[in-house]
Amino acid sequence: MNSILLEIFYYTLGGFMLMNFFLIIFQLFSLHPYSKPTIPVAVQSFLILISALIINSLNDDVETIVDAIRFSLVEGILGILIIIPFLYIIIIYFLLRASFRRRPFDDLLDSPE
Amino acid sequence: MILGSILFWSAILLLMIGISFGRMGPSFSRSNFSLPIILVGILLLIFNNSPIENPESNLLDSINGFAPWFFVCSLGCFLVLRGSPIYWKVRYPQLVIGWIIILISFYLFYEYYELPDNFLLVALFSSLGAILSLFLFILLVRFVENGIPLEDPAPELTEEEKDFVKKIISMNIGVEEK
Repeated sequence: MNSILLEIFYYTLGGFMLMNFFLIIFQLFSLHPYSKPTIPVAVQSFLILISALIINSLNDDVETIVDAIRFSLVEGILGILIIIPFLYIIIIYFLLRASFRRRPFDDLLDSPE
Repeated sequence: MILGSILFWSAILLLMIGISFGRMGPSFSRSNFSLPIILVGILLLIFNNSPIENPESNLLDSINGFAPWFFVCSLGCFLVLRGSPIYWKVRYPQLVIGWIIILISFYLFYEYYELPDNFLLVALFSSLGAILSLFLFILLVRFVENGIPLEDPAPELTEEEKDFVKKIISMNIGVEEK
């Protein structure tokens, strides 16, 4: 497979596996009487395993399933580290707007006595 | 996997657990543990002196460049939020200091953080994978929730319960019961 296509595939699977991991942890550690995490956690774990097997078969540098999971999680976290600055630009734009906000004219409060 | 890498992943796991504990809702009493667990995760990342192998080593280098501006910028955003006229009351010291800190974070970003050459590719497809996973999660939760049978309608209130409700409403609206 083309190396750029492979790279794209690794990044996509990296983000996919990282988010799946996070959601599994989230469901387990925010367990409460009304949550039913069994099926989602089982399906997500299965998908992580399948993704790791695919990466293991495509990437020659990866020897075991654990290595494949480590490799993908690193790709996923790198992606997050790149996206966060762009999210902060959006946040700073809204903070800028919030900083210079003025109270609209109020007939009752602002009327001359 | 060597000790340094195991500690690195333990720190990442603690960060994820800490964020999960912070959620509101029926499990909100656990949110008290959120910040301490996140702090332990950050400390484990910072003070992990054991040698780390690849691919974690490359990631740790990126985190080392990312962390200074991220924490400074987050602090600045927090202060600006505290100082902004959300309820029409401006707190100028927080607002001004917050913006100064945000400007300092820009400097730290350009000085220490280096985006990879293919950053658009990484950002685009990593987020695509993450969104795909989130979408699948929503579908799975919807599937599970749809499978839960509806509960029987609640029985009518007894006379005693009706009186109790009337009493509470009367007290709240300041009208004497007849």
